[in-house]
Amino acid sequence: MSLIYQIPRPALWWLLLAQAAVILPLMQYLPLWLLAVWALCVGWRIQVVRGVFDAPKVMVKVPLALCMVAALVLSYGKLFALEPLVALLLLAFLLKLLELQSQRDVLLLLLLGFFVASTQLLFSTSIIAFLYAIISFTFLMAAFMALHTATATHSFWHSLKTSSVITLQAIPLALVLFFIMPRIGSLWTVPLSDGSAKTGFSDSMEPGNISQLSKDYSPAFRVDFTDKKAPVQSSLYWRGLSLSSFDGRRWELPFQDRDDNIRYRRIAQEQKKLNYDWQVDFASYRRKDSSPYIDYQVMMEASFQPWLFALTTASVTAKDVLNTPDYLFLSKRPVSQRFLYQARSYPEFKRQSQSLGPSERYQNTLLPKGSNPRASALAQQWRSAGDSDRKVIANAMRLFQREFTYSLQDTLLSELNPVDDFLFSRKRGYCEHYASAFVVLMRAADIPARVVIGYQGGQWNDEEKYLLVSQADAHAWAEVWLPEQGWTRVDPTSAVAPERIELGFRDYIQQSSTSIEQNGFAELRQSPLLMQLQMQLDAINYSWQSWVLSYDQDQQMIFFQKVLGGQEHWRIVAALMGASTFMLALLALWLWWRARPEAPAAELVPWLELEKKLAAVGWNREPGETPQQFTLRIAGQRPDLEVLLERYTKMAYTLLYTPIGSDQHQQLLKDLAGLRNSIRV
Amino acid sequence: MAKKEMPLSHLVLQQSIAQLGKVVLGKEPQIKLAMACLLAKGHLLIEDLPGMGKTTLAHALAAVLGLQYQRVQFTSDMLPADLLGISVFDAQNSKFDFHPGPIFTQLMLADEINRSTPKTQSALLEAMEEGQVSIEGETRPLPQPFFVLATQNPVHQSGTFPLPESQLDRFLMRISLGYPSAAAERMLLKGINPRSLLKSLQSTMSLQQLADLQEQAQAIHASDHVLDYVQRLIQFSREYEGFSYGISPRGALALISAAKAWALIEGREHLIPEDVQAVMPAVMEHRLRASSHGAAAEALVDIVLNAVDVIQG
Repeated sequence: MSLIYQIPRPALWWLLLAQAAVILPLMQYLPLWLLAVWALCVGWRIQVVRGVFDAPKVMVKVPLALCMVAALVLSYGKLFALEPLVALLLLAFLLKLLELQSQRDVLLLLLLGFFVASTQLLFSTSIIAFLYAIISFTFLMAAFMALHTATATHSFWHSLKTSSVITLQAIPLALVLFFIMPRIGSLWTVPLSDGSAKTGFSDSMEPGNISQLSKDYSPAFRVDFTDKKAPVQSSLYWRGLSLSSFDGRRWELPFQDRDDNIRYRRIAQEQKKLNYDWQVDFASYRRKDSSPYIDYQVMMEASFQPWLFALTTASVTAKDVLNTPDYLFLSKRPVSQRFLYQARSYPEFKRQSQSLGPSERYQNTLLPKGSNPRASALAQQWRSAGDSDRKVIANAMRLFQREFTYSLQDTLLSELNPVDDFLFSRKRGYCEHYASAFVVLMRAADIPARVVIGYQGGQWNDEEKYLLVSQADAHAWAEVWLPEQGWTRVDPTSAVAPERIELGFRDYIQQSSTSIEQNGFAELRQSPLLMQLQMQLDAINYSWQSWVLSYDQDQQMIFFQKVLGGQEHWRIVAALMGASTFMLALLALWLWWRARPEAPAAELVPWLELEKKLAAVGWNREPGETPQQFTLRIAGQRPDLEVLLERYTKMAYTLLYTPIGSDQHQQLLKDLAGLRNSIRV
Repeated sequence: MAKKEMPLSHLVLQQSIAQLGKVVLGKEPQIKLAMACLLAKGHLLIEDLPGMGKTTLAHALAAVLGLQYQRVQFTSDMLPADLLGISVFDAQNSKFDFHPGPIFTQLMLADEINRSTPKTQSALLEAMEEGQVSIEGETRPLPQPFFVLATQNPVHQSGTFPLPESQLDRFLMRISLGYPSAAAERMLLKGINPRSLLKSLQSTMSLQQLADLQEQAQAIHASDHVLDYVQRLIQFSREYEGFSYGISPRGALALISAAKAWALIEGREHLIPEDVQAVMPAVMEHRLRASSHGAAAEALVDIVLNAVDVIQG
């Protein structure tokens, strides 16, 4: 009978701990019954180690594994997607516990563990997940250590200590490799979880759907301005998409634009063939040297929508992103993971100031027949009084300013004629109500107008110098077309609640005034401490994202350019070698420092100094020779030195071997120094 | 310890050594070592061929220090009771009377100690270590001070029982006298027998003075640097491959106390490396053993002294 391999006990405990660490984060995404499978495997393994059960036979193992795979397919309904495949891998990791028949099996299991521990990063790339992965690796390494040092009589925790040291030692190396090793693009992509959880607003606007977002402080995007200066809040209108089609209640994209894929393809084709006026205008404006502009970089969170955000009249450089005729941006694919793009905005550019095409004019003055009759009547009344476009706009703004309240309450208007309901009976509402009512009034007065949705403001992080725009900053405003001016932004909310625009949403609700208390903003307030904490956490996240997650080939090239002064191969190789030499040198320095001789005691110094002096002319003391014997030897050859050396030795002896006070000590040190100078060898 | 006292004690010691020098001719280093051994309250082993003046030295020491003196010639048929004493039944008083053996003295010369059997040798052990003897279940203290001066013939002579290491370790020092110098020998040949001078020797100190001197020797200051040196010596003896074993802590203590007594004889109140080096051969030779046969003990101590740095490690 052959001997049965038994895993060393400390290694088993570490292995189980490491398994627990690896499984824990995955349980957020995978079915919980896997935990039961793990418990079963652990129980069985422990009983095997205790000698109570036999290791499972093939007859048991094969059906068990097949059942598990079947269970997986049943609970997901499919096998070839991210979650089921990760679950399959995890299952293999768990079931292998039943099959530890040799040390090789344990090693295999541990190596598999490293792979499984990495899969949690497919679900989350936050810094927490990353640190957690490192901790899991440390545990797995501890199991390795325990396996290989099973015969040594270390304490249980010794393995963890060693593996922690190994991990810490690996970090500098990992950093160097991360920043310097040439980065190749991803070799394959994993289908990430489908965008069922769309965040932010949708591609339409109706009463209530923007005010809902006011409770959501999750980040929408972060902006890094090239000049690193805090921008003026009231200028921060992040345009997302413009809605020109209205059915009396809901604002939408024009009918032909509603399918993003078709729209993208159409615009892409049009732009291939022709140069449109709006493009030519903007291109020539950009070429002028005097045009003022702002440069910035936007790091957008996954929105699962195809549009990007930028300040007024921007040009965006990113792959597979199109400029639409309303100076907005459409990405080929929905933004399903963090997306980084560079943008340059020209705030003074006048959009389509020359003329507006007939179909565009028609589209932007169209109102559904018979809806919201009172609003139309009011606008036509202004118009018939002979007022100019500007006067009409001013009338509307004055109306809002005088009689209306900015409020988060009571946002669902009546189904029929909601604009009339808002303008004439409720007289309170959130930005979407004002934008909607304003555009209806303008269109009724025959002024081309449209609703724009996006974000307004943002929170400036002064430590890391970036702007955080969260979902709560979502905003809707209007754009009207004026001759000579082109498309001009008009924000009716600024007439009702100018502080909202000047301060930004978060600071606005922090104010204490009766209108804020009464209109449902107060309950959105956060304690300043919490806000501070959030800002700091966000700053850490931002650094993590900008330095680590978005560090791709291009970023690396920029890094090389900045740090190495170029991108040639020899520079990279030199940097790699330099960095490793530096680290080895540090290590050597540390080892040397640890082994350095201790500084001699103060009493020894005078004698050692004399020895040095004598050694310089070739008189070396033998180790076993006492100072007296040594000086006697020298005196035999140099009688002239005899007296001095004898005196010196005597004093040195006093210093070394007699009990003396510190005063005398100092005096002796001084005398010896003096005497040493007078000894001329 | 008052500083003024020092010259006086030094004087007494110089006097003693001078007296001894009259009897034991041309052996001043050995005389000083023997004095140092007694001042350090240690026992002395003198190893030499017969007729080299071992007994004379022991006798003279007793005379100069003014101690009671007993000489015991060890033989192979000697029993412990011959050394320690015996209880004899007194029929008149119906009780046992203890008749103390020759060990009840202040300075005992154990002549040719390696001629006796190990049983008798080890009877000396307790006496040397504890200053007391146990006879028939009764513990009896020995007189104070109590010194043992043992002499032995070189081990390779026939009819000897070599002392085991444990017993050798009880002796603070082992010295040998060696042949006398030509001048000293000439005096002997001329018929001037130093032994006859023994009677004319006067004791130079009282028992109290001896006790004081011993106390002074113990109080000699040993600075950290000297102790460092001693520890380096000990450490070397333990690590050096040429030795089968190193010096024990008891050996280290012996070295320090012997060196202190030496410093006292030299008239100093503090210990210097020279003191350590001076007593090192006498203290260490019988405590070291080479791992290979053939190497002489003298050479071993020289190896240690030459290899270990006096000033720093």
